[in-house]
Amino acid sequence: MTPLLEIEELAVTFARGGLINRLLNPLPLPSFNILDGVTLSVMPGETIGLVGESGSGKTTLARTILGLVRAAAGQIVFEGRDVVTQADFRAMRRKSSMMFQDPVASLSPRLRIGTLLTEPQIIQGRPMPDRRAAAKALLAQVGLPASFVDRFPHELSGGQARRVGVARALAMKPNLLLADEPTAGLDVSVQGDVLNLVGELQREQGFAAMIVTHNLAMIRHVSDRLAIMYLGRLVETGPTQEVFAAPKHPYTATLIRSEPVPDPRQRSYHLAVSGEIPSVFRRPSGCEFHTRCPLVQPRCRLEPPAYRRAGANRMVRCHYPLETCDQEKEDFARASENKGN
Amino acid sequence: MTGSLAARDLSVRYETLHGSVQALRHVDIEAHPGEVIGIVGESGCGKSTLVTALANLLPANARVEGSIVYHGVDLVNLDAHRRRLLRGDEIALVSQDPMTAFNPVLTIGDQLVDFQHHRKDLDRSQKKARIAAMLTRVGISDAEQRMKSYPHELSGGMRQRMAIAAALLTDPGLLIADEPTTALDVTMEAQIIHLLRELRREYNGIIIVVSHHLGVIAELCDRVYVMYAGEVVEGGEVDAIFHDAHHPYTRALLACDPARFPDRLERLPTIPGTLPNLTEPPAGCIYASRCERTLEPCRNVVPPCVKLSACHIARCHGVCG
Repeated sequence: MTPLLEIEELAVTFARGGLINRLLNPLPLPSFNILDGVTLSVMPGETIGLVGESGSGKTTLARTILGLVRAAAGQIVFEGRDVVTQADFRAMRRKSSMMFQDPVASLSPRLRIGTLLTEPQIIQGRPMPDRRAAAKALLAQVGLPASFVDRFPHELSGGQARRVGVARALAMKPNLLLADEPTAGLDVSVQGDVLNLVGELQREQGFAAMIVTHNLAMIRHVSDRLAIMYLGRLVETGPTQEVFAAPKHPYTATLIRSEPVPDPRQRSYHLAVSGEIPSVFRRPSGCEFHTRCPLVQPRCRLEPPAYRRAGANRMVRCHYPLETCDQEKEDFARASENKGN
Repeated sequence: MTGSLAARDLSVRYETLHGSVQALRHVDIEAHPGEVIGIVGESGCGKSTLVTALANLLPANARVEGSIVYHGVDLVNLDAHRRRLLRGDEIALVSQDPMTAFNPVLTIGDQLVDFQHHRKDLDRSQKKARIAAMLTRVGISDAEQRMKSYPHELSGGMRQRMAIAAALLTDPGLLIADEPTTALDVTMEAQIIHLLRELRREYNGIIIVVSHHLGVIAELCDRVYVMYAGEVVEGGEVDAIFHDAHHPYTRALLACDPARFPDRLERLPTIPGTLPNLTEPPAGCIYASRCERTLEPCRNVVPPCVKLSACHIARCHGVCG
């Protein structure tokens, strides 16, 4: 099967400083790598979870895929065709769509829901004999009453606004859906609602989805594969169940262990990771996770690890990937003991 | 100075153009020195109103009934001046977004000095020394240097540490943390939980943690109150709430949390229905319209507060004490 989307060695750089800085310093300033060497493929119909802390570049990656941010290097191949020019991106966007992070802010406050829902088809020049009926059909698809066509975005609750976001994203029957934090700010009972809806529509329509999130508890139930990002690089990819059962990169392991467990009998008194994600403006040398890694070795500080294969379907960017789940536990326990002494 | 806190039959209404919103109804909670109390519920459950009522910061259109007794003083009927004295001295609040808690145009150090204005016995240099010690205590290295920074120069996690330090500098008897980790990444969340847990060992006042995140509540609290649509529906020790919940809402809420299921679920559990309109709350049980086991009296009779054990209560017709 050919992948729906292939990204190879994608990089995004932002120029340093503002206008004044550039006028004062005529020499070109070094630019910053926001994304670097991102290689990822998405198969038709699969759901991939893109996970990382804030500042890891996951939203930038989603936006770059759709051409909303310009890539400095690398290749995007969608349905077997290279996507290079703006016209290519426009063609690609006809078959892919994005759910933005803030559902209310992504809907124009002065347009009614009906108009908002049918706007994508109008822009793309699809024939639509009865706009109102089309909007009502879309609302029915996401389980909202038809009377919502005349409402304004501020009259919706957070969960309803997400449903409108889902309807709007799927109005064009895309082959790829990019969802940026689809459940941020939602209560757990409503979060399930939105994700079940996306899942149902995905089974019906067969589109592939890329879900950008930092919510591990949620993503393990809705994704087939995981891609973990740290400082603009992928550090690990693999099937979701395998990654959760036996993470290979120490960063993935610390993320999983940091998640608070909703059970007072399983309180964790060991801190899995200390410190904060470094700034992309001052990338650490060698492996970029070495400043926080509990299992750091001298080599990690000097030599950047390659992104390499680690078992079937697994990729990892680490000099010393964790072998098994038991080994991980032992190593972490030893590392936190050493810190305590 | 430490003392117990008790809210009895506390109700708060907001008078709005669309009628009066009954944001809190007949809430009873209590907390003793040395305890960490959790208040958990989804948006619209009244947890923020409860916290603002405890901190005496309700807006002008709020009408309060009932009592909040802290250290023998009824906070509801206190005059404005004595209220203000209590706030900076006895009651401290750590808010969800520490960026808005600090003044953006003053350095952190200056603000932390100002927070200690009740300590008339200390001069400025003594206050600065206290700040440096407290910042080290909450895990900020090079405290002297950090005191010279402005709030925007710090990361979210660092600001939240600063906010906790600011609260503790006033030696409060009651520390309220309103969604202290919601704005943070999971690795930083774990660190703040760790910090709060460490601090409680040497702090002997009351800590109230408000969160919608069941994991945070389970990690931190001794006792928990579960709120729904302005009422406390269940309360008890953290273990009883997470392992022996009696109220159908508590059970549904726990069942919804995807973190409780290690294996992949095809469908995530949800709670069908929506919150009732709080301008006209239903006559009977507030949760009846979404409950999966409604009984005869649920729709018309307000459920009693059933005592299940020494400190485990549930407000439901379906449970027996």
